[in-house]
Amino acid sequence: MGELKTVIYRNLWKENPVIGQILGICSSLAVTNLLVNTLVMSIGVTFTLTLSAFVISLLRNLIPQRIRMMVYTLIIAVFVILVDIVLRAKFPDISKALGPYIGLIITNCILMGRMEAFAQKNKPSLAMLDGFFSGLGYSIILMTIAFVREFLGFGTIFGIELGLNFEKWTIMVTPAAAFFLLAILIWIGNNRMAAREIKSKEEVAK
Amino acid sequence: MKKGYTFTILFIFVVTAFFTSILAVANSYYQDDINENEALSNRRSVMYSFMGYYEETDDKVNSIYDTHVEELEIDGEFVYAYIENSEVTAYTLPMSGSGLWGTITGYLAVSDDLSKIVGIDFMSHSETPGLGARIDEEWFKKQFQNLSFSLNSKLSLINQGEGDIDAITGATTTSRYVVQLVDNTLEKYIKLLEVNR
Repeated sequence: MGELKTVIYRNLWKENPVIGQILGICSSLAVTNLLVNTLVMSIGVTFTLTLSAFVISLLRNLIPQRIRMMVYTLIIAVFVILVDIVLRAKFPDISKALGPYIGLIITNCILMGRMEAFAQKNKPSLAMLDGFFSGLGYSIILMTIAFVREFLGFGTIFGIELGLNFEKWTIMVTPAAAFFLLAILIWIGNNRMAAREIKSKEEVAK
Repeated sequence: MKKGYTFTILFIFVVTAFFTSILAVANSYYQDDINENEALSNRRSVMYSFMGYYEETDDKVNSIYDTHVEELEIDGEFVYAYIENSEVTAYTLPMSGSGLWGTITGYLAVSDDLSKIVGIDFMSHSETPGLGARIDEEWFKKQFQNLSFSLNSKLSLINQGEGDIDAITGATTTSRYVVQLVDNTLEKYIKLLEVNR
């Protein structure tokens, strides 16, 4: 249980892929103007991370060191293409809205990072959980950004009109707004983490 | 454990073959669905350009399309004719051209006497969401309906009260590209249609 707790804490907060490791920035900027699209993107990334971590961890003793990166990319790509095919067949509208970004999950550094840093060294069950919580950490940040952008930019939540009458913030629908929001989230996160670190150092000193 | 070249090469071959075959199976399993979705969204779009509204159900789209729309080939170019009481009432022309960030494709319907635009619809584009992407909104597309045109004068954006199409606020460039796209499409097809009607 101790291991699981560290995995959760690390992925959701301390080493959160987006605000802690500054990975997956491209998609955090590009697909966060509508909550529905962001949700699908988050599910896609989490699904891919979980399953590819599991498969790579299963094969970890077989994969030759020299070609491990190729194997990771191959396995990640397989799951991403699966997501893409299912979306195109069953949810054509969402697939159209996300455009090339589903395919770009393959090159999302979070995936390669988790495979190299964790999945190849740990047993399948733990690697799978690590992938899942890493995806969850990514999703939480993206959904937060998307919530603010959709609310202020369109006055809607998940496409539902809230009936609030205020001037829509046009900047919120452009990627520029995502830069500001992301920076604010990183700032808050780093501040809290730094504060906690100082506190724990003081406790050690005592 | 140190692994030799033979193992490495064999390993990558086996792994690749295994995973690509999974994908091949998934792809062929869903291929029909994907083709159907694409054909359906095409049909829906063609019909919107004629009628000015989207048919709700997929079945209705197919049944109306099958009875009223005929696909014609003129000099290697495909156009769609809308037929009512066995007479052509409008033609739909496929459009494709550059936008601000990428290609815009869609359909443009013109009346059978080739004097008016009947309607317009966009299939795909990569314009800025919330700004240029608003070309998908009803009010923008409605502006093209019943607009007279002639090949001698180009359509223009409304500027100081003069012009045909109101640009989208904050997306003047996209609006300009759309007008240009419509002009180019008319230029490309109207002569063909006049000769071969």
